[in-house]
Amino acid sequence: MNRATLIRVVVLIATAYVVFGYVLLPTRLEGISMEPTYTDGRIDFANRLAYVWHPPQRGDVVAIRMAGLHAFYVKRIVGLPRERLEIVMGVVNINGEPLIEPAVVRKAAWNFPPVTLRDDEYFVIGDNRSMRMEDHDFGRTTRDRIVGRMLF
Amino acid sequence: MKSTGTAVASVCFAALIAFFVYQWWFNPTRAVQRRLSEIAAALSVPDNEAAVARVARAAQLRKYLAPDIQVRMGPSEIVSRDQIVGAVAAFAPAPGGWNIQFVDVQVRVNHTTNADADAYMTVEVNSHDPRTGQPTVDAREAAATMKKIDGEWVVATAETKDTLQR
Repeated sequence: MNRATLIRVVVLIATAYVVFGYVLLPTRLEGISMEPTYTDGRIDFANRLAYVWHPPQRGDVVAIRMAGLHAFYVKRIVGLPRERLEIVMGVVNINGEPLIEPAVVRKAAWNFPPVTLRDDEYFVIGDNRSMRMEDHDFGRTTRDRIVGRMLF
Repeated sequence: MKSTGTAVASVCFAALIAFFVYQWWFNPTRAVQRRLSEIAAALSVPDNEAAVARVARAAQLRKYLAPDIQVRMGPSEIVSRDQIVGAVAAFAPAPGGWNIQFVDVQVRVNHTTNADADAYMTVEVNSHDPRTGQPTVDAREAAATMKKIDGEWVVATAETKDTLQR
């Protein structure tokens, strides 16, 4: 191996380490809560630079950290800070208006009481609303827990 | 000059060795992390575990828990070490067993006493779907308080935390 090749290999390894260690976090999705958008076992990346210039938007699919960056929830943002949200018979209402959600194919008759989000809070739910509400992890999260937006 | 250099190098080397020995054996943060790893191993169930092995694992776990331990998982609460050990000894998971790991562990030791610590972590459970046999992963946030009793770090309280608040 000549010197130039060695340098290329080192640069490639260093770039991959930075990109996949700090910018695009590889994520393997587990479970059915984001079906049909994301199926169980799919590989994706959480883009940590997605919200450098603007805050998270409604409809974004985001990675939400637990104690650290080893395990995430992957959910869709439906409620933004200071909004009032409730779910009536499976329909998400934002400030009293029904939310149109093209990614949600089937909706079970979920009911969730009204909640007003604080200044730094977002409301996230998975796309699979056909499952029992009790089996589905969803709810409020704070901005500092949103690691990034899913790339694909 | 040469002997002075050798002496300096030897002192530096000895200091390094002392540092790593301290970090590995005596640093309370490291000791708590080590104990948490042992607890995770004791809670993990190997495939086709024999009843005797399960009882032995439960007995091992007993050493890591305070007698008046309080465990809260959602709405349910357990306030007895015997109850926990009994539940672990009686519990038989689905075929394939499960593997429990504590990841992203953050430990804060009370340096005034060096006998109390808070730990915050993600509990990752790797198991198999009983219907399909496919590997599955579940993860939950958890917090624990640890205390040192008779020179051993034990769990005093443990509770799961909701990442997403309803």
